[in-house]
Amino acid sequence: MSLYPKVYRSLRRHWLYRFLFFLLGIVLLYAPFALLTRLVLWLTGTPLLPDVHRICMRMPIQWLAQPWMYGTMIEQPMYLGSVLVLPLAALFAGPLFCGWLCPAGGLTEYLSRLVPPRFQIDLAGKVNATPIRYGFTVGMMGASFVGANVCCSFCNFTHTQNIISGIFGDFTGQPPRLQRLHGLCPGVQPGGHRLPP
Amino acid sequence: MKRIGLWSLALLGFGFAIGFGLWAQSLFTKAELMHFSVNFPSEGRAETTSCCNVGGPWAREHGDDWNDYPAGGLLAYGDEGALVVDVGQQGLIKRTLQPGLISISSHWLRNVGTQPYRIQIEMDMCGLDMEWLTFEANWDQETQSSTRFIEPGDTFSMDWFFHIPTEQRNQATICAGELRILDADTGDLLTDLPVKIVNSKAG
Repeated sequence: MSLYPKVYRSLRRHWLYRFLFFLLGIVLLYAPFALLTRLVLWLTGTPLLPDVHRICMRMPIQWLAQPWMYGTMIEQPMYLGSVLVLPLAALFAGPLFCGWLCPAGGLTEYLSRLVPPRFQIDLAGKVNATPIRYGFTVGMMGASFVGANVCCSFCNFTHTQNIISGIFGDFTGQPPRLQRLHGLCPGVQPGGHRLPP
Repeated sequence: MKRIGLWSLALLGFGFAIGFGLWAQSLFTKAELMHFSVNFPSEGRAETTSCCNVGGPWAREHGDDWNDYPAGGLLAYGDEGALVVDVGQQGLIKRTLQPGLISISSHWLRNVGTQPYRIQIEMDMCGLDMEWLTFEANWDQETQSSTRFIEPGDTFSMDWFFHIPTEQRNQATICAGELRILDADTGDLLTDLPVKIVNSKAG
């Protein structure tokens, strides 16, 4: 008896396509590749090294509740990705980024596919996740008003970048290795590239 | 009734974000991956720009007549003038898995002067094994200097990682060090910031 349902077999091709897009997302946004980020940095003349943090998808959402940060977003257009580019793209192409291209989101989904459904905690149909999701988003946007930090401290993009950096090494040519346990301590992995001491 | 249920779930999500955010920030400000800002030049070492011309948080949080930058700068979170990392207040996960690696970070080494500076950075930390990390493209690690001029109001970014040997971890004061920002072209000291690593649970 198989641990996985038969329907998985018919989904294989779909998952393969999605996995290819997952890889494309890595190539476009994550160091050591970050091809899209490199292009944006070059176009905007920004003197920073490319990794997933440069086109931040989280801080701008928090800044929507902080009108004094609007100027920063306009001065540094890379911050407009999650609040302008993705919503506009969603109007025409649906959740192209979140559903197909986002490695940080895809990683957890693909990991969950490895676990047979009978061992998964499946809340679908039992709990309505939508209000929780929107409540969390509002909490994330309002966190800074009560001295809290959510968008950077629990950044799933950082964790994914750390894993990818661990696989490929970094720009300094150090051997591939798993990077430090920033994913386990609630702080910001600032990105960038380790320098020789 | 259904509406109350939906709002309850939304409140749950909201509380989840705020609760974990407060927990993260409590570690973030005293023990783990502490973030701070540094303003240079300070203490009358060179002419500075009015806070409201510098922009950013300075313009937001201070009045028009305010024109004084504390020594070492204002920390992003916590007290002014000194950075104190307390390994005794690390969270359970950090304490269990990675107690000996300390990291501090400044995304806001900010030029509050009236002229552009190319900066040199010195981190004197009692000989602790140390690594530097930056996402700045214009940085020369050999001379520990920026290779671009930082315009007034503009910032530079740097992170440091310190490895604390096991035998030193239980000292009340593990290291009383210092961060110094110098003018890379003249060697003049622009500002300094005491950096202490302590263990409040030593003993």
